[in-house]
Amino acid sequence: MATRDQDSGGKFQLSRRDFVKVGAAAAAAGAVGVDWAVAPSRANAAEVAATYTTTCPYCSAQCGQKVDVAADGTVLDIYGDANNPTSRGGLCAKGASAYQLVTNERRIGVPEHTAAVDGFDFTGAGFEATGVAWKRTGNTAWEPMALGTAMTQIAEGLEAARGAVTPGTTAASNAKTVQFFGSSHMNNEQNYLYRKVIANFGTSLVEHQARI
Amino acid sequence: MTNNWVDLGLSTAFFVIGANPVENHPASIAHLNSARFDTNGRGRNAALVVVDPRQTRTARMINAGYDSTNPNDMRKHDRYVRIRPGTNIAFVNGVLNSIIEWMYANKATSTVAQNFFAWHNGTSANHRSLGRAYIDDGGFHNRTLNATELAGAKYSHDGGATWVDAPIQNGWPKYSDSRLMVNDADVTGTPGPILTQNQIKFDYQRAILKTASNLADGADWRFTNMPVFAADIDTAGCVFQKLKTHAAKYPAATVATICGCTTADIAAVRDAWIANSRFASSDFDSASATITAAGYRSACIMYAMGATQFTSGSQGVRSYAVIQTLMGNMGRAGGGINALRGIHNVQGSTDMGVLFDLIPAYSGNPGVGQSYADYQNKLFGNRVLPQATTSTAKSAYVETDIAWQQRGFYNMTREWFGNRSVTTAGDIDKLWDLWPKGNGVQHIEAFRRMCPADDSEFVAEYHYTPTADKPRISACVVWGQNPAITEPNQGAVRTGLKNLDLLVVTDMFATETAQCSRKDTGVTYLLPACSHVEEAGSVASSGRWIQWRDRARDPKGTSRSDLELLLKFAKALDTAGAFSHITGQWATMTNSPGTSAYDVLYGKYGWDGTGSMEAVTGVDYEGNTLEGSEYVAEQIYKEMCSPLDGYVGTGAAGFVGGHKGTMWIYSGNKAAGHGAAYNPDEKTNVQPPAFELNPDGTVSTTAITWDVANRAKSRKGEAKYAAQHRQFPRYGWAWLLNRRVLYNNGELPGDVADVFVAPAYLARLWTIAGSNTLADWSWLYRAYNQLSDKPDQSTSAGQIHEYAGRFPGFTEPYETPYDGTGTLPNLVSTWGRNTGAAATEWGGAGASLNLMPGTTPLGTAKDYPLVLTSIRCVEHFQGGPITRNNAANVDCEPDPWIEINSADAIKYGITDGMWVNVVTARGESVTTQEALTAGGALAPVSGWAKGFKARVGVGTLANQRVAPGTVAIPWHWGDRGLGVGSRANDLCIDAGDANTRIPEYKACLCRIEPATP
Repeated sequence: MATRDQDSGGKFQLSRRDFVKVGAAAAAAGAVGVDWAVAPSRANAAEVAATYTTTCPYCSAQCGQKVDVAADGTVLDIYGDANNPTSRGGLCAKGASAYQLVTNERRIGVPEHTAAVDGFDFTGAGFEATGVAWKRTGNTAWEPMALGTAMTQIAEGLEAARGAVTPGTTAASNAKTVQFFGSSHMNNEQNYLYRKVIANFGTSLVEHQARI
Repeated sequence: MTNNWVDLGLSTAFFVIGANPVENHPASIAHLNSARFDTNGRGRNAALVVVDPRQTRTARMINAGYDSTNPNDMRKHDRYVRIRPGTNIAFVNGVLNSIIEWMYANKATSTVAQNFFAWHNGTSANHRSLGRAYIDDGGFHNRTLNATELAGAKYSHDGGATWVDAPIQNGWPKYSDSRLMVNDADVTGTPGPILTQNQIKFDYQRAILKTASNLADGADWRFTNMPVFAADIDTAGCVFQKLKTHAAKYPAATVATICGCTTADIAAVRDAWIANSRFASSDFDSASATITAAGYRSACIMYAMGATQFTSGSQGVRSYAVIQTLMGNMGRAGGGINALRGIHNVQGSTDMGVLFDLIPAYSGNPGVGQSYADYQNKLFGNRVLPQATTSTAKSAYVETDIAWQQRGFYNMTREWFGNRSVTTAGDIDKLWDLWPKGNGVQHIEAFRRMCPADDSEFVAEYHYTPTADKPRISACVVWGQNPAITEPNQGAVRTGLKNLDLLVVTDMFATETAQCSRKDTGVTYLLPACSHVEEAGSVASSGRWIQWRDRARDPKGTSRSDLELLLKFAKALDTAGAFSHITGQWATMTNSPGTSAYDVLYGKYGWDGTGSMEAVTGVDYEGNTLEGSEYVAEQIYKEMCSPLDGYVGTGAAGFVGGHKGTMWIYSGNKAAGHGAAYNPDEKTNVQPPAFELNPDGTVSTTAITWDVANRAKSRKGEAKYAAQHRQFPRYGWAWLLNRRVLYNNGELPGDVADVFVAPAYLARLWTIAGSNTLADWSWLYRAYNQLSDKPDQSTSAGQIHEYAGRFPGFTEPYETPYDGTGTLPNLVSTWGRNTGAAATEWGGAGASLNLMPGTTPLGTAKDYPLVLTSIRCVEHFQGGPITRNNAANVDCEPDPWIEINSADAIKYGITDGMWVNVVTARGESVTTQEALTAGGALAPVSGWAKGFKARVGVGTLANQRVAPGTVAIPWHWGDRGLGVGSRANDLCIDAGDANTRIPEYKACLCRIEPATP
């Protein structure tokens, strides 16, 4: 079992105890719904340089979220947007943990990551200027590399795997050897762009979570 | 959703059939409770009916008490009905049958029943068909038939041999096709050239309409494929009578046996439905609904994966559409059928066509051998074939001749494979050639194609034999998904992933897919994506509301936005020569778009692909400076919007009113006053109109303005902006045409009739097989895709599946305890299993079990006596990466569990809290799961697969979470992350729905045993 790190957060980290309390309060207010709570920002108002509006990254109710950000870009808190007609400031157990998702030390490519998390260095340290990717062969250890180098290798590998594409109205216009999976976690523009890259690549081999 | 989340608050009855919104869509419950407990003081209270194999936390909300003195308190209808997994269709059809019987039994005495018949027999005054332009057989558009011409029209049922007066004299039906006549047999004789293919058994009856014309040659105007209307729904041979016959195969006693419920359950749900239909509403006779009145009635269905994840899932959703259409609840505030979709932007990703059979905006892939004009002719818009030589015929190549979906596709073809300078027919055909022709392969087959038979390293049972047109898939890009958890039958999926030469994963975490077991020569790349607050863009909710996400900061550390990664990817592909077929094609064009694929196709979004995309800046219409992804995303958004009244350039001068967007569902119709999703003009009075509420509650005539051209950024969410609709028409933007309720037929106050009901402006109860041409005469026109279902039993005349694929019919899941091998009766021999009516990936048309790979192990009730159904919980999400890495979520639900009834617990030696090994024909939960993970440096923490922790029910059998014979397990867990646990999908079956290929996650067979921790 991986190490639990519920007490490792900064001053705005949602601790286990706080979180359970939120859940209990929601359960007590039964008519409002189970596991549904309205909570204001926990950020220190003096530190908040800007507040942005977004939507919750979990289910398709798309509850409104507000994001308090410090002058240096640090995300201070993520909380419910009272102006959103769907959610009126409420968030469920998942949405209320969005702050943990964003500030998660288990994310790859963030400075907070440690080798203890997955057994590999996923910090991206040393690749701040170029961007980073990781590569492995077989089940050997992950190795970091510059993002641009990885992109070149990936593109050449995919192009070789695909073979020739012949424009026209025959099946030869549609390559059958490279499969793409997209994502409902991405915004509309990203999905649109992804689908375009795939069409330009010359294939309709694409699927994503809407099928499952 | 046909309606939206906020609209739930207007409902008077919730039929939750195959969903658990308390845990999976908690935001909906605030609106549901608002309706139930009347927080708006409307004097009415909504009923809650939950039909589900599990007594979910949603089901536990029933019976909150009611006021017996208030006739508008519907909570007296609260009920939980437990059914066996996979029997939704039988239950709904049982209720449908009971409703129809009730309507006939109470025809003489009940106003509600009389309203029911009046509604279906009624003729429409406000529908949009009569008085609109028709297309005649010569391809002439804009033939408006006036009342005199219609009155004098003649009709032929035999291809023009004989002419009679008037099926349309019976009047155009108001709402559905219930009064349309159906052929009971193939039509013999000598039908005309177009009628030949239409006069087939179980298709709509067709007629040719002719009327005098003012043409110079004196020839008649002829319109083929006009439908034939019965005088009323009691007429033998009409759609409603067919439906009545079909429903009669589902008498209450039979349904109770199939579902494991009681006949009283069916009667109670029937009563709830009738009491909350349009026919019981106080506004039944009025021209527009008073949706806040105490006597208003409108019932909605809420459903999710508990309706769709079956081999008959599409037909299950159709059964909801049929019953709601029949009860007049479609297109009604508080009504409709509401799919509670999964991931936050699954509506948007579906809109964008990230699927093997689609391109953006619900157009199919261009077909092998298909011409551009033929493809355009099958999209929603104008008829462009057959090409006529007259000036009134339409051309697929002329921008102003094509509409809606056609216009969007025309623009998309140019934006995706060239640019706006391409306008000639010859050059458009060159770009058409660049679309990949034909579909990809569905997800289950994709993983099978990754493991060819000539590789002896892998499990023999999942080998796949490549062919020339179905070659091995050797490389795979997984962008923001975790198929090593989410796909069914992980044995096959992981075998496929292992055998890839090249695997690319983009994610926020090192997921199960990124760290899956790979062959020694397989190369894997992992790219770091950023979080949702670090990248801008729009998202579409389940209710089709499009909202904008601000970029709160740049991507953290060395993570990158998806936009930057994708544009870098496109640039690298271009450099690697992967787009050379595109630039090669350009070189042959009269007006070449350019020479650099990246510069022409991607550079226009604002970044040249070098340096950091976050350094890019630009200005929006309102003059604000946008940075990085905020700017690039808006450029793409503008490209997508508005085929009919598009916007290009900057400033109002750039608004040229013409044909610019690629996503027709984001479009507006400037002439009709409908605004697009991006629109610098028309900030005030566009559809639907919205009015300010004065402090005293009266409506101000001052229209609410849009503040921004980018309507996704409009956030007028205060209560007063609900205005008449209670739908917040200025909060975000909703497709189509900012409609908050689809299919509304013009009855919402302040709204207009919806042109998208259907090409015939009729909701369709009956699915036509073999013909797409009913709407050929219509001005608004599109081809239909028929559903592909064919039960493998009882499809002959007079049998229960006589109308297979046309009306929804119950079929058993692929693995069922009623297969005749165990202790229960054999229902498979009666009701059959579903198959594909056309040849599927796995077998011929109608072949038994052809919705599943032949190599998938199939269990029987003799060996696996329990039904396994997969579930979700509020604390975790889908495949798990974005919750199983959060301490808060893991602490609340650290381990996967199994819900079992106390009777089964005793039977199988399980006590509460014990670890349980769940075993299916495809695998078990402990040792085979560990064997499917990577070893060596990538080995997961040992002991992660402990099985499922028993949650044994207490109390009476009926009051426990699941019934005897059923077990439920969540599917969020896996072998990587802060919280780990056994994977449900090693067990689930990879049989897929006949139409959508959604796997049957909700019903397979298993046995259980205590696990040794």
